[in-house]
Amino acid sequence: MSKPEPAEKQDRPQEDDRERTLIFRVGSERFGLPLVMVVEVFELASPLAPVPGAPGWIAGMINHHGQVVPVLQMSAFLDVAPLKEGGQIVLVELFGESLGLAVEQIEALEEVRAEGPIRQGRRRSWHRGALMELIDTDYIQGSIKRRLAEIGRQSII
Amino acid sequence: MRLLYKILIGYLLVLLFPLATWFLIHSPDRPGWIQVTAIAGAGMAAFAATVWWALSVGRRLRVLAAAAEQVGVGDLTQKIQRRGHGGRQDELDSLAASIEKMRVNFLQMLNTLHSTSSQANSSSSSLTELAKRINVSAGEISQSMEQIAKGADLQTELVTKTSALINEMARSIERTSRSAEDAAKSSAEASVVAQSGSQMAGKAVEKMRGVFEGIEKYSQRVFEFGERTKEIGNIVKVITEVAQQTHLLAINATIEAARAGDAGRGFAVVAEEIRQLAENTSRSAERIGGIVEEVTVGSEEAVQAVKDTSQHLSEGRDQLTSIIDALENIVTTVTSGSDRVQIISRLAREQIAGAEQTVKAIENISNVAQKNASSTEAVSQAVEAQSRSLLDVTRLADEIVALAGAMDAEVRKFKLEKTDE
Repeated sequence: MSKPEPAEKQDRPQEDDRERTLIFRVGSERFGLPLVMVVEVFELASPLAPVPGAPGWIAGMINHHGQVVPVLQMSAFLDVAPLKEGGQIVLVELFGESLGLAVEQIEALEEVRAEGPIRQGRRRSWHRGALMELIDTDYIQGSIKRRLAEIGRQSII
Repeated sequence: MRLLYKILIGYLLVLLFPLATWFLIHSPDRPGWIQVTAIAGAGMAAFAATVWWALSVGRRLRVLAAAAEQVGVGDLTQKIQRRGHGGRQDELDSLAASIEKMRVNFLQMLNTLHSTSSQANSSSSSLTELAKRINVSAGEISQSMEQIAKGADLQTELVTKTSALINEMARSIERTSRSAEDAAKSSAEASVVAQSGSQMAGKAVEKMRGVFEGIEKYSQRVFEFGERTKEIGNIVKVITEVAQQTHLLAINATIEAARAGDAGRGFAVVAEEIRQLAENTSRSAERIGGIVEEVTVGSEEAVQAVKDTSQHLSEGRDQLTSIIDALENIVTTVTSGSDRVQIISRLAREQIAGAEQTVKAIENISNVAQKNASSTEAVSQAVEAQSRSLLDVTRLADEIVALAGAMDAEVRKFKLEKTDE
């Protein structure tokens, strides 16, 4: 399922460097995530199950169709001051593993052109006149690895 | 027997005794010498008897002379001795008796004189004492009279002052009376004004009640409107939620469509349209929500404003009610004040009349006091005259004392009792 997507996706930037991007909001900042990463979006129906001894950027676990999926608290993960508790979950597939991202509000699905240099896996872009940061698989993967190494933890859960 | 006879008898004795002797004894038988001796002896005896008798008379005369001498120097103590025989008394005896009688009478007179003198002395002393006392009393009377005179002067002065004060008081009472009348008029006017004010305030309260009811109705409407708006808000929330869920579903549909590849392209377009629709709905709902929020805030403010206004109106009504009460109080107070002022005015008039009478009475008192003062002067003069007379009396009494003393001194020159010897 995931394999045809990158192929399809890679076609598009070549002809046009626009990419279908899911735009969400954490705190007062907007972030864009390539739609190809996204498996599903949904409202958080029940509270998250806590992960023992987890740092603040790990929000907890959810049961998604019988599968245990860890969820990252994106406000802590992206170093943004949160505006409200709870919110919506963006389920992504990261190198064959399912991972939930707890965001405050999924706002739009748009074609976005990446502009400016990539810095630590985050690239600046503009969305409706406001600055937006685009994050991708590599950034999330790298950041998770780095954070886990900092606290000497093997895995998220 | 009289001294003459005694002298004659003595002479005869001296002559006859020798003669008788010669006659008896002359005889020749007898010697001569015996006869001569007998006659000489007889003569000698007669002579001796005569001498003895003369000496006796002389002695009695000396005794009498000594007694007279004693009386003469004032010694009346010695009684003059009489001879024992009562029957035969000669001139010397009667002389002695006369001297004795004189002494006794003299003594009685002197005693009487002495007692009279002491009586005069004591009477005079008590007279002097009395005069002194009277004089002291007169002095006291005089002082009292002076004080009375001073008191009368003071009284007159005070009466004058009091009269002036009362006149002044009467004038001020008159002014008070006039002021009270003015006050009565003013208070009557104030009463009328307060009454009309009270009526106007009552009308204002009635009108205010109407306004109040209108505002309450309006407030109710605004509140209902606010409630409805909240309902709209709730509906909008539901719409927003539905739109968001639709949005998420559309995103998921888009993802699924992308995964379906070419087969999903048509579906992807539909999903995208649904997503955009949901987005629009969400945006519209958001705007409606904002408007609803503004409307809610506005209506809440309106309700609050109406409540505040209502509160103010209520307070205003209360204030008006208290104003009415106050005005009614003013009317009653002014009415009773007016009554009181009239009473004051009447009393003041009565007081003026009373003050006039008082002035008259005080003038009478003043006249009486002046009369008193003049009477007092007359009494004072009489007392002074009395005092002077008493001085004369005292002086006379002193003179009497002096005279009595002198007399007594004279009496004392005589020896009246035998205390010394």
